[in-house]
Amino acid sequence: MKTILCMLVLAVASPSFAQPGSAGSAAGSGSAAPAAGSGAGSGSAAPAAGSGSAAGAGSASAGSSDPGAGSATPPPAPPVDEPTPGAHKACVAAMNIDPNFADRVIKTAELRLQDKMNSEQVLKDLCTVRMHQESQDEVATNKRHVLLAYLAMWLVAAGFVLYLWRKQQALKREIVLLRNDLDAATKDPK
Amino acid sequence: MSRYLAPVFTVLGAIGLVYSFWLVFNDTPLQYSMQPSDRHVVLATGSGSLFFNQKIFFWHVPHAIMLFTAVGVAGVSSIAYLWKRNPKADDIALAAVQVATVFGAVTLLTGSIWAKAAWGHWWIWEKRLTMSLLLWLTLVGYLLVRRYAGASGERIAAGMAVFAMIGVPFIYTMVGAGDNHPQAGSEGNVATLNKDMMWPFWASMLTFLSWFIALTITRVQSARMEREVRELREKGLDSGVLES
Repeated sequence: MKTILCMLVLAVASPSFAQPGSAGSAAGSGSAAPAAGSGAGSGSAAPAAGSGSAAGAGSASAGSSDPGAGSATPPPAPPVDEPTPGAHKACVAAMNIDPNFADRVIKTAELRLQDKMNSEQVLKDLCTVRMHQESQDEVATNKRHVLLAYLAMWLVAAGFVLYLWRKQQALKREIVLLRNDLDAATKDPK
Repeated sequence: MSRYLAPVFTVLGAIGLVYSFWLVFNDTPLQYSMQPSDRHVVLATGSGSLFFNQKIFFWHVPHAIMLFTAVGVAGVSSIAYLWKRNPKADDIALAAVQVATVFGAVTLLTGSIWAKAAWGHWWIWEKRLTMSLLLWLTLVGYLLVRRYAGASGERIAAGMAVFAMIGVPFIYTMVGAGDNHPQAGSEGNVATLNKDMMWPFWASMLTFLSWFIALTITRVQSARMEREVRELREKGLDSGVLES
């Protein structure tokens, strides 16, 4: 387990990790894990024999001493950025000696993974933002018609209210004039 | 009492207009299509898309419903006038037709603008649009008859108002008859409208109902004043104060 984490940290830490082409190499590291796992198993069974476990983890050929590893298919050619056996050895030894170091390695691995997931999430978020932006653009193109309809409604309504108001004022004036004429005629008959 | 009704409804309408405007632009979701089943087509092709222009719905439909209400009021009043010869009923019919003409004009204008935004055409000879235009022209005909047909014009116009009222249910049910007109709600009526749009829609309805009542009352008052002017003139002519 520790060996897997160690390899993962080293693989993630390698400069080519973030490049698209490195996905294959990362997978390559992953595919190498079973062989490494068998080595790790022997390593954990015999902590004192750190060199043996390191050899098992370091290369598949070294795992030939392990029957399980020996029966496995021939190992693929190591990826370009696969950690060196020496680094594995040092890492596993340090993790076996110091549990705090192992914890730090695990935490680091988790953080790197989280960073990777975050970067994928950022891409997804950008796509979502883009889709919303396109919708907003479409929305913006239709504002003209909404404003036009609103304007038409107000113009017709305002025109009718103005017509009614003027008509009522004219009628009121006419009623007053007619009443005055009729009152004057009844008061002063010729 | 009646002299305060128009100002009260005008104020209610003004408050409602501001409130419904705020609701429509801040509290309603954007809708891709009035028919939910069309959503994938709309998104794929872009045709028939509503988006922001769907906001026109909140003025267009209430105006159309007020148009139908006004035509109903005019039709019932005209029947009452033809039956009892009550001039007050004729005043209400005239006022209702004039208000219906205004609401009809707004319905046709906003509908035409919406059609341009959603369909790409200002007008198509679709069943509901054509029937609505014919209804509006009948109302214009009513007003022309009232203005130019002389003494018998009131009764001819009353007949036209009844004719217009009979046409309203046909227009209203036309959406369910398989035409292309957008439906309000998933099943062609406002009861199945998206729940987020329900209250803004009813707020708009109440607003324009207030406007309708205020305008009708004001127009009835004008019609009564016109009648008073006619009576005073006849009185003046009879007494010799006025010359014909």
